[in-house]
Amino acid sequence: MTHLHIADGVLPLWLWLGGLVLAAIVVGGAAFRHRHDRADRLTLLGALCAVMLAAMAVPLGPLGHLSFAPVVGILLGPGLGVIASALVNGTLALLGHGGLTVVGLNTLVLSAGTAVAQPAYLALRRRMTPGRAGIWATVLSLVVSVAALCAVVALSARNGVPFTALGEGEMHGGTSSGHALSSMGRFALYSSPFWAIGLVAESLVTASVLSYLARVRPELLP
Amino acid sequence: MACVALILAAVLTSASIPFLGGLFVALCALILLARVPLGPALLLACYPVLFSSLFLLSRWDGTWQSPALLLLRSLTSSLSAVLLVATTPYPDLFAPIARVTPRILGDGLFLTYRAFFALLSRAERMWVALRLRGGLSGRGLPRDLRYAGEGLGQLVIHSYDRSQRLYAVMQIRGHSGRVCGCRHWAEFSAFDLLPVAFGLAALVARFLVGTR
Repeated sequence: MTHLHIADGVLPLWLWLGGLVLAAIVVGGAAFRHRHDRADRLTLLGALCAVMLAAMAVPLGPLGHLSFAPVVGILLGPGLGVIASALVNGTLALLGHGGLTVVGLNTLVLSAGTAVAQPAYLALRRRMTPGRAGIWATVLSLVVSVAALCAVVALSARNGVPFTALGEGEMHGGTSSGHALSSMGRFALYSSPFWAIGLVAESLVTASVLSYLARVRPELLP
Repeated sequence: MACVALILAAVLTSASIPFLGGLFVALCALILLARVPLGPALLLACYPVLFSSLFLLSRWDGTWQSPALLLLRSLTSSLSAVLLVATTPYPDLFAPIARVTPRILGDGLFLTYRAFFALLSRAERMWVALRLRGGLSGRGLPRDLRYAGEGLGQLVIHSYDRSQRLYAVMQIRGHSGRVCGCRHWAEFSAFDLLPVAFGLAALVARFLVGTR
C-alpha cells in the first residue's frame, strides 16, 4: 500500500523523471533541516530503516507484505521519515525489489504516509494509549499513502496511452481524464482487497510495537 | 554502474519486443560470464514483475504485445540491477552515492546496510522461536500479529542499540562522513571494458533496430 510495486519501463518518462527530481528536492530539504541532528538520531534512522527492510519480509498474502512505514514515521517524525523512505526505497531497488527509475515516486508515496504519522500520533496520544493512538495514526498514514499511489496511477494514464516509450504508442479512445480515471478505478478495484488486509495487519502490528516500546523502552517514543 | 545506466537507457527507449528479448538473453549470458548463479538471479529479477501484475492488469489493452513488451522491459531492467548488485561490493555502490548526497544520507545508507544484514539472521531466529513457542500458530490472526509486532519491537531495540555502538566506534576510528574514503571504485581497469562495451552495444543496437 505504501510502495509502488512497479518495475522499470512501465511508467512514462516524464512521470518517473519528475518523481526523481521532486523526491531529490524533498529529501534534500529534509537532509538540510536535520544536518545538525544528534548522532543517536542518525543511528535510530539506520536502525529503523533496517527493521523496515526486515519487516518487509513478512508476507501478507500472495502480493503484499508488511511495510512498517507508519511505525517509522511515528518514531522518527516527518523529516527523518522522508529520509528513511528514500534510504529504504534506494536499498530495495538495489536488492531488485522494484525498479531503479521509480525510486523517486516510491519515496514520495512512502514519505506521504510517514510525514503524517507522527503528528497524528501525538495529537491522539493525549487521549489514548500508545497502542490505540498508533492504530489511528496508521490508518491515516496508509490512507494518505494510498491516495498518493492512486494519484501516480492516474497520472501514468493521463495521456490515454497505456504503455509508451518516449511518446510512441497510440490513443485508445476516450478522453485522457476518462481513461486515467478508469485505469485508476480498475487498479483500485483489483488492489482494494490487499489494501484492506494491509490496513488491518499494519494497524495491529503498529499498536503492538508501540505498546511494547512503551513498556520496555519508552524513551524511544515521541 | 555505467553498464546498467546504458542498458536502462536502451530498455526504456525501446518498444521492440525482438530487441528486448535479445537483450535479455545477452544479459543472461553476461551473468553466466560473471559467474553469478543464473537461477537465483532470474528469480530475483522476476520479483518486481510479480508485484507489478496488479498495475499491469489495470492497464491491459487486450493485446498480447503490451504485456510482452512490459514483461521484457521489467525483466531486462531488473536483471541488469541484479547483475550490478551481484558483481559490485556494497561499499563500492554506496561510496559514489555518498559523494553526491548529503552526509546524513550517506551515513544512513551505510548504517542501514550494516544493520540490515546483521538483523536478518536475528529476525530469522526470532520468527523460529515465536513459532516454536506458539506465538505464530496461525489460529488467530490478531493474536499472531500482536506477537509479530512485539517481536519487531524487540528488533527495533536491538537494532538501535547495535547501531549506536557502531556509530560510536566509527567516530572513534575517525569516520569523516564518507562510507569509503578511497577512490578505488572510480578506478578503471581492463576488466571494466566488457560491461561498458556491452552497455554501449545495447544502446547502439536499440537505435539501429528502431521500433520495429
